[in-house]
Formats: sequence, structure tokens, C-alpha cells
Amino acid sequence: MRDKLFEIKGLKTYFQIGGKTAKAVDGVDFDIYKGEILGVVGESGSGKSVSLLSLIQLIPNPPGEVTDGEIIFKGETIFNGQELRKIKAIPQYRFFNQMNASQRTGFAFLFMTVWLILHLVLPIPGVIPFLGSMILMVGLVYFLFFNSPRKSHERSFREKMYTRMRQIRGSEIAMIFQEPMTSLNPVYTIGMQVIESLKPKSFGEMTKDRVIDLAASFRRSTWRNKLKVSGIAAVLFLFFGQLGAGWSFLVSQMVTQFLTGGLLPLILGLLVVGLDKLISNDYRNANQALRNAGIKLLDQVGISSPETRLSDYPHQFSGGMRQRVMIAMALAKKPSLLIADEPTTALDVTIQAQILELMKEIKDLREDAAIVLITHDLAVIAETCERVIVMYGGKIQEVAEVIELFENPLHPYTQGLLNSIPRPELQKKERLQAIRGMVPNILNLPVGCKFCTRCDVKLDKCDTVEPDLVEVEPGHFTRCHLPIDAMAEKKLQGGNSPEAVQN
Amino acid sequence: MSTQENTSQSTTVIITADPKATQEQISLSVLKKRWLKFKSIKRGYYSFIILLTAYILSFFLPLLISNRAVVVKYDGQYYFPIVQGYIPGNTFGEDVPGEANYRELKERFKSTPGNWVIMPLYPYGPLEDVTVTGNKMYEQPGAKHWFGTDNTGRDVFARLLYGFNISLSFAILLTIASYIIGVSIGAMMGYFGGKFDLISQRFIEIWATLPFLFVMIIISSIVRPNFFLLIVILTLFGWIGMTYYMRAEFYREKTKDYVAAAISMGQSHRLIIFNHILPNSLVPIITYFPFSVIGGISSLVGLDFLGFGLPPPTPSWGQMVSVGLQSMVKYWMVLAPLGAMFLTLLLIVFIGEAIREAFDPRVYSRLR
Amino acid sequence: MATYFLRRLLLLIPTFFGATILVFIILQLAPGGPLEQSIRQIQMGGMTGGEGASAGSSDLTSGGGAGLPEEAMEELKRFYGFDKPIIQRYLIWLGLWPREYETRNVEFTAGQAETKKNMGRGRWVTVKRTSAGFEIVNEDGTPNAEWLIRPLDSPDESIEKALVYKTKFSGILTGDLGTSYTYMQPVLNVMKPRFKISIFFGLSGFLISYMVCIPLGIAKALRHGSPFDLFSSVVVFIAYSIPGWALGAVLLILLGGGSFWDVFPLGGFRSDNWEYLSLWAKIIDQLYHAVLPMIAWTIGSFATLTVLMKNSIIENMSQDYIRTAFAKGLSEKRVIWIHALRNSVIPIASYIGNVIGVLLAGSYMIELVFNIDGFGKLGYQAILDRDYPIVMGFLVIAVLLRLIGNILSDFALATVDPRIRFK
Repeated sequence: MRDKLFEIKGLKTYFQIGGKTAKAVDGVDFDIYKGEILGVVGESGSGKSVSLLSLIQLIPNPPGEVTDGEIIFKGETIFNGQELRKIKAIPQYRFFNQMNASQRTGFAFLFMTVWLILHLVLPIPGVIPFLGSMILMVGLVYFLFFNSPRKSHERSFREKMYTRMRQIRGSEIAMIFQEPMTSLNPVYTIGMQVIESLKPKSFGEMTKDRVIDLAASFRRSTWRNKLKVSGIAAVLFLFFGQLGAGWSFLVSQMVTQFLTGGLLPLILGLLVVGLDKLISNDYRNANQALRNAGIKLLDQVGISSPETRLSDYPHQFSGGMRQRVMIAMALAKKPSLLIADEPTTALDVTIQAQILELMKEIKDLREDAAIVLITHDLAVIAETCERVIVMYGGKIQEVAEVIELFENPLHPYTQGLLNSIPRPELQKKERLQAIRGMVPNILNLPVGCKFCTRCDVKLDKCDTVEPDLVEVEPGHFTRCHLPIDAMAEKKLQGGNSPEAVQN
Repeated sequence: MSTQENTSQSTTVIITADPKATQEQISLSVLKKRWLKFKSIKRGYYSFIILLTAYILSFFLPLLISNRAVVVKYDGQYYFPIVQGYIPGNTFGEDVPGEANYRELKERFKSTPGNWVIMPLYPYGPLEDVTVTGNKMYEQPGAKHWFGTDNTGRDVFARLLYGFNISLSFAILLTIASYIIGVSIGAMMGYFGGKFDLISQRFIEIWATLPFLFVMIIISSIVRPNFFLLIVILTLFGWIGMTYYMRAEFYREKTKDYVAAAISMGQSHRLIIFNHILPNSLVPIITYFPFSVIGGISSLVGLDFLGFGLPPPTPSWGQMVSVGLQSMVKYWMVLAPLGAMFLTLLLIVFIGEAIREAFDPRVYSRLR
Repeated sequence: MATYFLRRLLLLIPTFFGATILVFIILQLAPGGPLEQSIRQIQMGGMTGGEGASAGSSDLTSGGGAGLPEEAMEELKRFYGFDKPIIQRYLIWLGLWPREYETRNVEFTAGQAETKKNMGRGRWVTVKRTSAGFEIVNEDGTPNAEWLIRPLDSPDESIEKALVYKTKFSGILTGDLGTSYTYMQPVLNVMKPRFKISIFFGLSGFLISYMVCIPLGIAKALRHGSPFDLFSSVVVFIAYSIPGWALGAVLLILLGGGSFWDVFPLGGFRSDNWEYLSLWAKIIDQLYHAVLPMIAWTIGSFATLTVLMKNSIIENMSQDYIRTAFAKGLSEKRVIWIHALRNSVIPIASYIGNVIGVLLAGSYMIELVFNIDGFGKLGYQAILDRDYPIVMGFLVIAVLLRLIGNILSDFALATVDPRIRFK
């Protein structure tokens, strides 16, 4: 067996929606091995994206929270649910723990009102003592009502975890998202965003870059262009100058205003050029090196003429191109794990194939790098993955090697998924066997097996008892109450192979 | 599948359809769901209840706060001055001409068994001035006059509460009037578009540059503005704001399929605008309503402050402030009405925030 | 970009003419105008308290000037320009029709053929009456081209009247806003010092509110639901529910030394002895006077801006590109200040243009409360006094400020959002 890159044990991620808890991921265990391509498949809302987002702690908190479990990365525990549970046991507030939130604010305001009334009743000596008393009041209210030891512990726990995560993100784990259209910041250039994933620039450095850019464009611009800008500036300056000075219409004054306005852009341009001279050569070289690295990255993901496209904005790119940019950014630091969250769903079919091809090529560049491909498209899984995790209702339902899964699907849900794929070799008359019903609401999942509401071969205990994930064959896990023979019998009529699905 | 995936992935909030649940959700009308959501926002809901109660109560103010007695029993006969209105003083054996002074009457009747007076809770009226015996100018706040008296000896507290009713009624009527005009014009601009839109826009631009205060002053130099005339004048300038929102809303809505369907069924423009698109564009109207009421109240107070508002004896907050600001020591005439305005506006702000939250909820999510 | 500005300017032209024509007509037709006001003043002065005092405002146009000699009425009408039809008056105001100035009346009794007239500053002309009309000659007998003459209506058949005058094109298009009736000075001269005061308050109020609101909005968004957010929300709600001038009045009462604390001056822009103070004391004095008005000035935009900023940040923090930025391993600070902020500033950038107009002209209430001689108060006073040249000048500046504001908004918007292009 290959080395483990990631170990995920008992991962739980809950969301708070309108006062209810949605158990998006509810106890998920799996490993990611070095150099493998792992597929995670499931319907929407099955928790496949959330479990991988939890892995790199990109769960928005609030409303979501990774509440429990353990995440081990190359032997280092980066998230420890036990520690978090211990923190959760600390009382929430230092005082008055029996009060609920609205009572708490109510009492805080009551306290402040009483304090203010006391001020009205007692003589007030002056403004400074009054302000002091106000500050004292706010401090006291905070100390009495909102002082929360648990929160501060939780904050420091999360801060520690997120600090470590930020070192790992980008350099060790990278992620590509489903929507290339919205996943790039619309107000920054592609160049800035790609180079940022190589090395984030400080605000000062960004200003320096801006100066360099402006100076270069000033030098580049033709005299005709410069004259045009000068003309516009001159007219504007004249107009607003007259407006400000109150329309004197003295010829000398108008000429002065016109000339000043005309010279203004030139002076500004020369100023920029002067500032540009102040920037050190070391910085320029470093900057050029970064730029070249960015160009190389874009070139690597197949973007033509990357030098010019670097200064374009995302809205000037097509969806497929943007996804390539996303991949380029993800590959910037050669991470050991690339998580691709439905990278092709929002794209045209032809582009989908190109992107998948690209990801495979990248896989070949670094032997030990792993890829996790999240998708609801079994064809994509069949084409690219080595091992597959099937998720449903926030839990893993089946894990197997890709060939094993397609040839010998054991869980009724997996079988249903495979049955619902259109296959050319089936007779036209035969109808596709779609899984009946709909995905249950995440807020009220069934108590027992999560799939029991839609399962055709349901047993009585399925409603109440959750089956365990058991290893039925080496490397093939499934979560079902049915005996293995019964499961195998329910297999597809025509038999399945990854090749058949791919078509 | 894919659209569902798109929406759920972006916010990472997964809400999947359960047949039963959707059935329930559909049967609950959208407005009712929003009302329930509004009710769940305690601060706004309680503000709404407080304001509504106060407003309804303020219509019965003459029963609670008045210089006229509720019941007078005199020489075996019952009088109800609150209902009857003016009763001359000599009816009750007072030798001063004019209306009876019930507060004095009450004192006098203490010694005469059989005769009695029941006064309202707060026995001072908003309009009685120094001509009534016992009233003094610029009295400090105290047990007798809770918030003191003004430059003509009128009770500030009584005027304050009567002013509440007038201000709020004024602002609500004003907002409704300007919304009716603004919504219809904005709707037409958005719906018809093209030249009509362009010309209307220019017209609105011109109209918006008109100095409103100036027109106000000129009109008030011709006729003394009363309550309804003031509403009409303010409406002339107040309808503009809503047109922008409605225009944008209608521009967006008219491209949608249900409008195309209605057009293809040959329905009239009027029907499409008011029966099809308008119900779908209600959100900005409802969410901006409280804030327009706030604007209405502050502009009424401002106009009264400048002296171009409601005619003089009307109890108004702005007029009190302008008297109070003339000398810095009459603090109660500034702080009391502005405090009342502040509290009223605060309640409306709370209601407005809750309405906005109910109609246009924001998901707070934070990555780190 | 040039075409963009051109289109902006072109769109302004109909607005400009529409607004000025509308206001001009209302001004000229409204009763109680400057003519009536000065007639009333003269009457009040002439007949001390008599029946003339009862001359209301509405009946003046018809026969209210009965107490005044016809001569004086004519003179007044000419001074205020009411002797001409309204379209001509508007064109004169624009500067497209010659304006009469240095006017003198001449009278010819029956049979009189010529008369000498002093045109001021020692210039004498001789006006001759001929069968063809009037003729103006210099003292040496040569015809005079400088002065023009037109006959006037005369109530008396035996006396013929005429007006000698000069003309020039002088109006808004030639940069002349006219002369104020109340200040007897060119309108621009009256406006200039007040403009400075309003710009002082407007600009610093603008800067302060932006410098406070943006960081506060960000902090509130990041600590959504925390005690800090709760308490600052209370401040925001208070700011929402109290108009600037009302807060100013409350602050004046509380801190102006009336019944409570005496901390700040009662109003005014500077102390009376400001001229004689040292530089440092000048600055202190200026700031000391500016504190309360400034609070009142900023409170209006404070609430709106803070809430706008907070909502904008909250909305942007849940966008996909923020997740991308975090997935790159960027620090939280960087994600907020570089990725979220610039996107969140977009709605605020389009708000900038609005602020300019409001800050300069929309604050007359605050100026009235604090007794500051600013631009807004000037306009308000001019409306009260029926000082029409100032009112019209005010309108012109308001329209131009709107233009500047719009251009500024667009420029700010284009600076922060590269998706927007000038077309």
C-alpha cells in the first residue's frame, strides 16, 4: 500500500440554518494516498464538497463548523476534534449562564438604562467625568454580560488551526472550484491573481507595480495619444477653472488655464516616470522573475500569448480559460494534493474534456501528487479516477477501486447511480432505472440508513438502525444491512465496466 | 440537478427539496412566510406593536389628555365636555366669560357635595395658552407641567403627544401618496422604456433640481398651507425617489418569461403592469416604506422648524424647537420634542430593519 | 473617454435649460416678489403705520402700488426688469439679449425740441426730438453712437418721455450672475466667502465620514453578531433616527452653555477676534467652533455609509473569489483589505457624487441652527428675501455641482471596477 497523505477520522461538519442544525457531513472516515486520483461521487447535498472543504477548513464559520473528527496530514494532526470538544465543555459565559441570548441583551440594556437614570438623578459634575462614566459603563456591561471564556478559548483554538492551515493551503493543498465565472476576483488582473498565488505582494509592492506599469504605458503611448489626452484635460481644466474663478473670460487667463490643463497630464506622466526611476533594480528583477513564473504557469495550462493575457481582467476571459487560470493558480506552488470540486460542471462538453486532459497531464508532472476529484458525473470518474468514494446523506456509503466499483457495486445506492446512466448498448425500449424519489431534506435525514427512503430492497431495521461501513472485500467498503450475496444479486442486468460507462 | 448544484455550492448551504416540505412551503403564501419571519425578529416586532398601539391610542388623546373634563356633575345634571365640546363657564356658575375652566371647577367643587368633575389623566390641553387663568409662560418642567410650558403658556407634554399623531399621520399619508405616483411613473418608465423613459428621465432630473423649499415658501406666501395642502406639496417632490427603484425593478422583471407569457396572451399593458409585474416588484416598496415615513416625519419637523409647516396653533414638534432654540435656557422645548421625534423614528428604524431582514435576508458567512 | 464627457455635457443641456426656465417663470410670476417687497418697504416708510401697512402680499400686482407715484413705480419695475416680457427677461438673464444699463429718463414738454442730460461722471448728451423719432448728439453736435434711446409710455399727453440707455450682453453665458438685490454686490462676490465655508465643512465632513465609516463598516462586518457589533449598531440606529440639524440642536442645548455644560461655542464659524489670534490659536479656534457642526454634518451620511459598507462586506465575504483567495493560502488581512474591500467599495464609489451636492447645498438647516454663514444659509436667506439673482445663481451652481458629482461618481466607479468602461 502507498503512503498515506491524509487521514480523516470521524469528520463532522454541521451548518446552522435558521436555528436548525444541518448535518452536512456526519462522521466520515477516509484516507488519501500519495499519488492517487480519488473520485468522490454523490448527488447534490450528499456532503461530498463539504467534506473536502472541511479538509482544508474552508467551511464558512458561521454558519458552518467542523465540529468533530481528526484530520492528519503527513503524520501531523492539523485538526483535533477532541480538543474542541473539551473547549465546548467550558461554560459559555463567566456570569449568569442560565440566561439566554435575548435575556442577556435585555439585562445589558436594563443595566445601562439604570446607569443613565442614575446620572439624571445625581448631579453631573462635568463632561469628562460623564464620558469616563460612559466608558466605565460599557466596560462593566461587557465584563458582566458578554465575558465568555469559552469563546476566547475557541477563538485561540481556531486561530491556531487557521494559521497552520494557511501555511498548508496553496503550498500543500490546492483547490479548484466549480464556478470559474465567479471564482476569480473581478477587479484584479489575471496577472496579479496568478502571481499572488506564487508570492502575495504587499500593498506597497502593488503600488510600485502600478507605477512601473503606468510609466511603461506612458513611454509606450504615441504623441498623438498624448496630445489627445492633453487636449481633453485642457478643455476640462478650462471649464472647471472658469467655473471656480467665476467666468472672467479674460483671454490671458483663459490661455493660462488652457495651457495649465494641457500640461497637467504631461507633468503627471513625467512624475510617474520619475517615481519609476526611484524603484530599485533588485525589485524590478524579482518582479520580472515572478512575472516570468506567472507566464510559465499560464503557458503550462495552455493559455496562448500569456504575456499579454497577464494584464487582462477576468471578465475578458471565457469560462474554460478562467478554469485554466484557476488550475494555474492551484499549481503555482506544486502542492501535494489537488482538490478539484466539480471542475467541469459549469463548462461546455468540449472544454470539459480539455480540462480533464489537462489535469491528467499535470498529474504526470509530479509523481507523488494526489488529486481528489469531486463530481456527480460517473463518466468523469470512470475516465480519470483510481479509487472512488460514494457519498449519500453526509456519509460514505461505498468505497472501492474504480474497476471493482463499476463491476461489482454492492450498495443499492451505487447500483442505482450506475443504472441511471444512459448506455448505448441497452435496448431503446428499456427505460432507464432512475432512483425513485428525491434526496431527503438535509435538515431531517432519516434516523437509520440515510438511503432507506428511496431504497427498493429496504429491510425493516433500515429505518431505525444505521449500518456500519464494513470491508466486504479487501479495499472495498460498503454500508448496508443486506447480506453480501443479496447485494451482489441485485447487480445490473447488462454488467458494468468503466469502459462501458465512459462511452 | 446542475442548477441545484450551482446555487447550493456557492453558499455552501445545502437545502434540498423534500417532497413533503416543499408541499408545505408552497401552501404557505410568500407574504405569510415573511410575516412569520418578521414576527421572529423580536426587536422589530415589538417596535411595531408599540408604535401601532401608540398610534391607535393617539387618536383617543382627547380622552386622555385634555383641558376639558370627561364628566361634570353640576346641580344634579351630567355634562360631558369632551363629547359636547365648548360649554360656557357660566353654565357651572363661573363668572368669567368664555369656556369653563374645569381644573378650577374641580377645586371649587371639592367643597360642594354632589357636584364633581372627572378630569382626563393629564388635565392640560395642547391649545390652551396664557389666556386661561393659571397658565404661565416658560414654566420649567415639573409635577404640574411634565415638560414645562412654551412661549404662550401651552403645555409642552400635551402638544408633544398631539404632535405625535399629526406627524405620523402626515408622514404615512405623504408616503402613500408619493408612492402611488412614484410607483406608477417608475413602472411605466421601466415597462415602456425607450423614448418615454428618456424624456421622463429628463423631466425628473429637471423636477429634482427645483429648489423645493423655495416653492414651499412661495406657496405659503399665497395661501396658508394646511395639513392636506402640505401633503400635496411634499408629494409633488417626494415621488421622485421611488421611480428609480421601480424603473430598475421593471426593467429587470419585464424580460422574464411570465411577462412574455402575459404579452403573448394578449393582455393589456395596464393589466400586465399592475397584475403581473407589480406583485413581483413589491419588495423595494415594502422595504423602503418605513424609511420614507422617517423622511416624511423629519421633513415635516424641519419645515415647522423653519416656520413653513402647519399653521400656528397646530401642535408641532418643529415649531417648539424653533422657539426653544431662540434662547439656550429653554432646554425642555428643544429636548422634549426632539426626544419624541427620536423615539418615534427609532421605533420606525427598528421596524424597517426587521422588514428588510424579513423580505431580503442576508446570509452571514465567514471564511478564515 | 472624450465622447463620454461630451455625452454627459450634452445630456446636461436640456436639464439646465429646463430647470432654469421653470424656476425663472415661477420666480417671475410668484406674488410677493422683490418689486412688491420694495414697494411695501417704501410705503411702510412713507406712511407711518397708516392704511398702507395693510397692503397684503397678494393684491400688489394689480393695484397695490397705488400709494407710489407712477414715476417711482416705473423706475422700480425697470430696476427689477419687470418692464419686459418674461421670455425677454430670461434671455437677458442668459446673456442672449442685450441688457440695458446706465439708464436715464428724459422728458419733453410740448414744443420742446431738445434737452441736455447728465449721463453721470460728467458726460453730457443732448437729446433731440425729430419727426422720425429721437436722436442723441454729443455736445459738439456729432451724432452719438454710444447711447441708445427708446420712447416710454406717458400718462400725460403733453409730456413725452424717453429712456436713454446703454446695452451689453451680460448674463449667465457670459459669466455674469447678476447683482444681488439685498447685498448690492455681484452674486459671485457674495457667494465666494460662503462657498469657502461650505467647502470647509463639506470636504472635511466628507473625509471624516468616509474615514470613520469604512473601517467601522468592515469591523462590524467581521464581528457580525458580537457585542461590538451590537453596540455600534445602537450608535448607527441613533444616527439613523435623528436628522443632522436636530442632533445639532440637542448638542447645542447640552454643550453650548445654556442650561447644562458649557463646553463649545454657541455657533458661528470663528470667534469674532479671530483675526488677532496667533496661528496656533487660530487653528484651535477654528476646530473648536467646528466640532459640533461637524458632528451634525457627518451624522447624516454616517449611518447610511456604515450600513452600506457593512452589508457590502458581508455580501462580498461570501463570494466565491474570497474562497479562492483563502484557498491560495493568503492571510485573512490580505483577503479582506485587498480582495473584499475593493469590491465592497464599488457601491460606495457611486455614492460619492451624491455626497458632494448634498454636503454643499443641502445643509442649510445645520447652518441655520449653528448660525454659520454658509452656502446653504445664503440660498435660504435669498429665497426669503426674494433675492432672485442669488436664487438663480444658486440653481446654476447646483446643476453644475450635479454634473461634477456625476462625473466624479463615474470616475470613482471606473477606478475601482475595471468592468466599467467609459463609452
